Amino acid sequence: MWRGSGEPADSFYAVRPECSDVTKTRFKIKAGRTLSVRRWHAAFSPDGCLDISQTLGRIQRGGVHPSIRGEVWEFLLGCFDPRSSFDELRTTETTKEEVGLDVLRTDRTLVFYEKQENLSKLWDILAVYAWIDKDVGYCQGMSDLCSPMIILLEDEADAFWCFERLMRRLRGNFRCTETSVGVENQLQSLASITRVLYPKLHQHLETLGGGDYLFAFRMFMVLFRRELSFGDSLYLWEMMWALEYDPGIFSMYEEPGFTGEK
Amino acid sequence: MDSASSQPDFDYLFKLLLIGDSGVGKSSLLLRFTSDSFDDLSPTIGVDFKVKMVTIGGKKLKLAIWDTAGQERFRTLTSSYYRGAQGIIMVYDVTRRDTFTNLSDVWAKEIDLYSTNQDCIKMLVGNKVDKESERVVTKKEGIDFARQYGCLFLECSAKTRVNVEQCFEELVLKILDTPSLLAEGSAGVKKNIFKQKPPAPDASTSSCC
Repeated sequence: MWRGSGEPADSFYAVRPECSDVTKTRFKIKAGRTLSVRRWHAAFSPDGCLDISQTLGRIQRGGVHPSIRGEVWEFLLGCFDPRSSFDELRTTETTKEEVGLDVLRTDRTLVFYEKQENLSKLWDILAVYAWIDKDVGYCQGMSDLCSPMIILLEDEADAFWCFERLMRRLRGNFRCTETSVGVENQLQSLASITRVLYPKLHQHLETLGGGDYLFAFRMFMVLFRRELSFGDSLYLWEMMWALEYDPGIFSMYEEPGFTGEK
Repeated sequence: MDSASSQPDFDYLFKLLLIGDSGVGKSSLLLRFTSDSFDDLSPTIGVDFKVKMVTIGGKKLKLAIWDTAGQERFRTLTSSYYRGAQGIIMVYDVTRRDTFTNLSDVWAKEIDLYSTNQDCIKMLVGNKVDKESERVVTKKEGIDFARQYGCLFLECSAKTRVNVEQCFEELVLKILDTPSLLAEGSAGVKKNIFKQKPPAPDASTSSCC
């Protein structure tokens, strides 16, 4: 495994100069054995599909060139479908760009987000969420829902789970088909309820041409965060959750296959 | 919102639409135009709109300007707002190449698909020219695109307000120059700015409470 000469890889993982008693790296980058950048790229077909089998022999015998280790590991560990194309990888990149754009535009009036580390938490949580919920991914509006969690819970991991639980209730709104955005189901319910409970109001809205209730689109998407102040929207949220609190909520979430949609 | 009165206080009502990729500054352009201010704005969710009364070309105009979310998944929603627009503003960010290439890949196609108005005036706007050092799309590229697609063209900055008013003014002047659009926007034509769909058959007798 260590035999033969090659280029040392120590420079990729520099050790602090004051530390002397450190195990020496014996791994060497060996031409013809170590998986090189060129070989790695050659394993992708012209349409962008990876044939990882072409690379496994190299990796088994000579490891991976440190400059591409990260991306190779992603495939080795199964982050991506090995049949995935550049297109799918590009989707992942696009999602991260979208998150990045919106993180810089979320609740910027709050002092809390003057700190770079708090923006980073917002980015982390939204990007990870998009990863674990592939059907929904990232959709504009989620940053409005996530931001309070980061402010309320100091620990990023706790904030993530709070957001994830909130999304179990709301993810249906963000799910899109070719022809509609998920929240439109809620708009139809609102229309039905208003028609029965406040027929005059409903009629008035119809007359104005607002019978599709699209004016309420954003109210449902981000639970009135844009209509109310930051503090008032949190008050509204907790009142809502208290009203619909289900004593079995915890065990319900633990059931396998639970999707959380109403 | 002013209620429907028999004497409208404007000569024409025009519907304008802002489209383009996420984060190019559509909402900022609109805010600069309608309130002459610049703020850190949150991403637009779905569709937003503002009204501005202006006097251009000696005419009193009411502009209903619809501002759309740029994210791809909102397109099923935003597509319905092209209907009946007299003017469409395509915005890109001169510091982000993608937002420019998507104009031909995405936005021009959206207009072809969803705009119901043959004569509708299109305007190309390159925003964020205040970041000159970060510019990656040249002015010439914008001019060439505009020529190819038959649109008006300006570069502007919502931040410094350079050319913002001119964007809307040039667009509106061109609309005023187009008889078919003028007829649609005429204050005499009873219409509702919220109406996206053809009027319901029973809407003729309506009177606001």
